[in-house]
Amino acid sequence: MAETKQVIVKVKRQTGPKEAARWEEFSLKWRPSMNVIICLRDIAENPVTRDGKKTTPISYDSNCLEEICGSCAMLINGKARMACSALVDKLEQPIRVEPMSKFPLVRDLTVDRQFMFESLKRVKAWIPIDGHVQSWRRAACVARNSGKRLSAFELHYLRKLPGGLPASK
Amino acid sequence: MPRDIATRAIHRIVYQEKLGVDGQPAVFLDVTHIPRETLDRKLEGILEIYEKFCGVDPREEPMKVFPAMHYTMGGIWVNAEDQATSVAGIYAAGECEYQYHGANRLGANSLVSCIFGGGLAGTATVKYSKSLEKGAESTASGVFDLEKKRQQEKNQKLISQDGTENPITIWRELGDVMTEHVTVTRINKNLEMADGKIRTLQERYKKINLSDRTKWSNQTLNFARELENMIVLARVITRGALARNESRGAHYKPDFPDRDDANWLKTTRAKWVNNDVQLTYEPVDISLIKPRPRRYDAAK
Repeated sequence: MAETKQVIVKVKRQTGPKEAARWEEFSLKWRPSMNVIICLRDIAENPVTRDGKKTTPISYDSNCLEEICGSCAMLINGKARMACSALVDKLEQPIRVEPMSKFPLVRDLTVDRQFMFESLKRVKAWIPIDGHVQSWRRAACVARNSGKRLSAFELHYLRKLPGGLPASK
Repeated sequence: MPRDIATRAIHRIVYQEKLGVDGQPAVFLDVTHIPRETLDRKLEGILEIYEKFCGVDPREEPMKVFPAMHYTMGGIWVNAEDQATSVAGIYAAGECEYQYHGANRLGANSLVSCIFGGGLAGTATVKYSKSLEKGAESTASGVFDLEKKRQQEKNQKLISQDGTENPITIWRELGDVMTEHVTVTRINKNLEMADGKIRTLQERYKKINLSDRTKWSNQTLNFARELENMIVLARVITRGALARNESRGAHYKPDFPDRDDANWLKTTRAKWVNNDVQLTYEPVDISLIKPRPRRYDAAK
């Protein structure tokens, strides 16, 4: 019967960046549409290993749970992917779960991704939306140059934009 | 089919008639009779999401669906002028605050609260901080020490207590009772029962055990702190719903199916006093647009 089907998950654990790593194995009750995040949550609800030892809930990051934010990325059966869309039924068991190896480890599956965000800032990895900000700025400059008094709201945003506050005539 | 009507029908099938698929809160949404090419042209993105997270091709097998909460129309009280909360110096903007949506959010109106509210709150914050005669650096350190100590004691208590309750279990039960009784269909006796259940969870929360006494990256501690607030918020929502004997927007009571502007054209305001919910009401500004009945069967 499906009710008694078990899912075996092996998690690489490390209590801190300087501690030694170890593996823990868990046996969880199978449910339909189960993914790796659900496994980690089930472990947090009953943090006991397969051989009956009490342990701590596993530290991991997650947020949107719809494969957009990327915060639940980890190594699953050796492959870096997002845990929210890693379906248990499509994975070979025991499912091996490890932290991503290219980032400094914080604890268990949590890694410090700060340098990635810094790199994104360095290459300005975003798109100005439809030139909206620039066209708004141009319109505000024209208005100001023709003697119109801008609101505190407009002035505030103009100061923040590239180029800053345009000189008034 | 308007989504509130479809949603109530699903809710009834699952909770009143207990006919959810495999006993789970789900019903089938079947599109398999529509040709694959049509589906891929019209719904490809949505069907792909389903396939990705459920591992089943919805072009071949019916989808299991259930209404999900994805937005809160209520939130932190702020004033209409500059988004200031009732705590001096703290401003709120976006989905976390209560303005704009009333009993139902119109599509795309969440952007209003983000962009307009954010613009107001941003400028107000600058203005407020410039108006202060002294800043944090000239505040007596005792003020900060006191709060730091309070928070540390709270954390220490949660980490060290040897309770019998698991925070995830309480969270799951809270979600179940809220989904069944305090979402799309609200019945007073069920709301009272739900409030009772939430109060029990509040008691059980006092006996939680984090299963983790470490202080480094202890996510269960964060979760437990959030859970405490979730329970308070759940009580606020339940009690507000219980008091409002009418149907309005997303708030639907089968025992009071009509909108009652004479008694309920007002916003619920909740305050947490002595570990309990205190409700008061504030008027709704209808000076620009007069309320009219919402009808699906007539042209606007």
